[in-house]
Amino acid sequence: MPLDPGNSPVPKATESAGFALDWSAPEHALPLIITGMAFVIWLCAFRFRKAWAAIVGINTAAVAAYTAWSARNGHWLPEKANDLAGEVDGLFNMVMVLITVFFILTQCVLIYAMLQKSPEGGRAKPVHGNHTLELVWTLIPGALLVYIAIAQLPTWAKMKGQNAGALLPSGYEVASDPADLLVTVTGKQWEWRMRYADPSGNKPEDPIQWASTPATADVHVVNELHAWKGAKVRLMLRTTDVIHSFFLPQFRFKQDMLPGKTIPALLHTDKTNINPDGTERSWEIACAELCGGNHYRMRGRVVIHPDRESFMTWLNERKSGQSARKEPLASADKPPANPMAGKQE
Amino acid sequence: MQQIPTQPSTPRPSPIGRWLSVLVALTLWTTAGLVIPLALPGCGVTEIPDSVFYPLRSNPLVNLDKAPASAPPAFPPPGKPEVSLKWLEDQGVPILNPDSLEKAPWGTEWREEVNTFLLSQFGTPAKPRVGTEGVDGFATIAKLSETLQLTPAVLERGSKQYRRLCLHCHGLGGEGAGATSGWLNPLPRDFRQGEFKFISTAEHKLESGFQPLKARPRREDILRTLHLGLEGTSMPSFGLLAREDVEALASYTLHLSIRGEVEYWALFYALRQDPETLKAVEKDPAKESRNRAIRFLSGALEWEDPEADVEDFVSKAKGSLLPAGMAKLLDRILREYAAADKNPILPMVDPYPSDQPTPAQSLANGLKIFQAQCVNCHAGYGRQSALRFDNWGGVVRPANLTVPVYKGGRRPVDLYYRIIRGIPPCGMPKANVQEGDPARQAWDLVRFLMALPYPDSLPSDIRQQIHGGAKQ
Repeated sequence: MPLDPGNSPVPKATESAGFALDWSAPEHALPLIITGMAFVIWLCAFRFRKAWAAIVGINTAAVAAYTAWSARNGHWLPEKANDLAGEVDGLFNMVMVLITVFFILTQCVLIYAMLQKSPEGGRAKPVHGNHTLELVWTLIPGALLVYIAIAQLPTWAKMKGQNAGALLPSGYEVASDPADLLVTVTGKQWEWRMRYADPSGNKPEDPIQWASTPATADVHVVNELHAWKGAKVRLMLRTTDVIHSFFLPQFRFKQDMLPGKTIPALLHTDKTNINPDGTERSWEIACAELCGGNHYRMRGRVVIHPDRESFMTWLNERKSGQSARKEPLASADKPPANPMAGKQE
Repeated sequence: MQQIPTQPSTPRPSPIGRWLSVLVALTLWTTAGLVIPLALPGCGVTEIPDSVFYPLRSNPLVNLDKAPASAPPAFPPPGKPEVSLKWLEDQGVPILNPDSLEKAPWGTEWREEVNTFLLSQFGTPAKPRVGTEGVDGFATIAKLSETLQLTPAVLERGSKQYRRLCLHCHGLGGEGAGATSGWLNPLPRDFRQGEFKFISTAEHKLESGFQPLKARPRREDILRTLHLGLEGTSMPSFGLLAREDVEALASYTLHLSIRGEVEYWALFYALRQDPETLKAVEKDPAKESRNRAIRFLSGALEWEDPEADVEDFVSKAKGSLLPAGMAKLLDRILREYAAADKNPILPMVDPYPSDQPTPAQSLANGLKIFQAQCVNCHAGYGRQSALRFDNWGGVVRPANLTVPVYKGGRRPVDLYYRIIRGIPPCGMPKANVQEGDPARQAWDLVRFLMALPYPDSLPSDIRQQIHGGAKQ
């Protein structure tokens, strides 16, 4: 059956290293339930009258227990596809630590306040004006936010692939573009249309221009992003309708697509998702901006080939399929097993 | 600081009351926490009760036997696709409204018979099928529906996926009028006319020697559309679905299309106002229903078998004539799809080797053919194409060929199919490549079309002519 003749014999997929919550095993919830129950018994025994304090306490304990447990059980972030993903995770963890410290702090204050006895007459006295306190709670978070804003700049510059090594991403410059592979990704309700510039041919003079005016030798593919290990992939992100967001969870890469704009971004591929035994770990593309009714099924598949040769084999097969002058024979074009098969629902 | 007036302290509730409040609060929180996440997966439920039927066609039937006198003034405004039917009606094209059947004394009975037949032969969205045991001619229908992969198990799977992925545009019965359809351009396909645009079926005759009623697609054409989507339209790719699901969706599309077409013709013969029918009706107004059924049947038989004697069939027929005619029609449509699968277009061999640069003379010849045959509709190479009506009564625009977006696929062979077969439901004729060497003519045109959007790949004189001097 001539579906897409260009489909390459990408290796058979195994079960993905998925990051969906697994609720199938009830024993996973046990630590959470035990911690929560212990806390509720303790609180009720200790302060029988303060029912609401008990409820807040249970929730805090449950959230804490679940967070600790989930991190140990693979409910955290998915596999890292490159070094930059590690950097992003570092930033994420930094923010997470800050949030946790302040979360515990504020929860303690909250529970302390709830456990106080009501004053005579049943109403508390409000406090008005405390300059020291106001300064403290303005300056400390302010300083932290400024720190977060500055700390992420170099990572963002790398992700944009512009002005490498600098603090701030600059405008896109063709001359300094380190990319080995040019891909235009056009978001559309509800699919990703990829267009590859043949890396063995001449590089387009102006990739931004090329993103909106295809060239003859371009290879057109739907919903599949291919590259090879070690490639620097210049993505030109566009949309034909509404705002989409191109999200590669394993790369910790997310960039909005805005109507009327071509947004360049750089993807570093430091790892392959083809296992030595030829199976494929499922890396996916997702839309991260609610874009309409079928937003949830705007997904795609990422294949990072182990080397440039196997990528070129795939690309050339696509290319010859695209220039087919007759329908390929039914037996010759069995499409490969697809790791995303059945997941696009 | 303002002194807060003291309030009388409220009496403390009893310990039992406090325990109760804790209990109530805990119950509420737990319920909310459990019910909300557990209820959300319910959004994906695709079960549909057996009591839901395919709706009997209620929107107008368009039959463009001859091209409308004038082109549509514009695309219909967003959300109001039905406006184009009004435009057609204004220029005298008969628009047959199934609701008007109610006015005829026999209309309700006719509708009832159509409905009963469709329900018995095609089932419901929950239990779709083609053909029912125990009906005359079931043996051949069952055999054909197996050949076409229209078995109940496949259709049920397809129906489930269809409701999940396709229904919001294409509608429950394939009427192309789902909730989101009105705002799309081009409109989602109405499957119920048995017409498909992008086909790779060669022109052929049935074994009986008769022409098929419609230009049928091959199953592979439908599969290809599902896999790759239609670039330049709102139809996305479903290539990431499990293979069996895509196959099932293709089968279900056929199921909806066949059901819709049987319904279409049965209603068409009830409503049509052509001179011959009107003559028969005038002669014996009391027997209008019977006469129309005979017309329908004779149509079905003529399509079927040149030797058929309608009088003979009518005299021998047991029971009502309409279901007998619909069964004949169903059988014929199934055979047409089966025949289409066996008759792919076999492209002529390209006289030029594909690994060498396109010869300038080939492009020049392609341009010549284009200017002789295509430019009437694809004015300005498609940049100034005038709008036109398609067979569904909608408005379409001949493709802008200076932009490399191809709805029916971008392979050379796809363009070859389009020019050799045309796009029948849109009135795009097939190109005439019979002069001289047909293979060369055809492939020269394809080559020209493929080079057309890329100024750099055209010789300077042709580029000047098409793209002006701006681009070097």
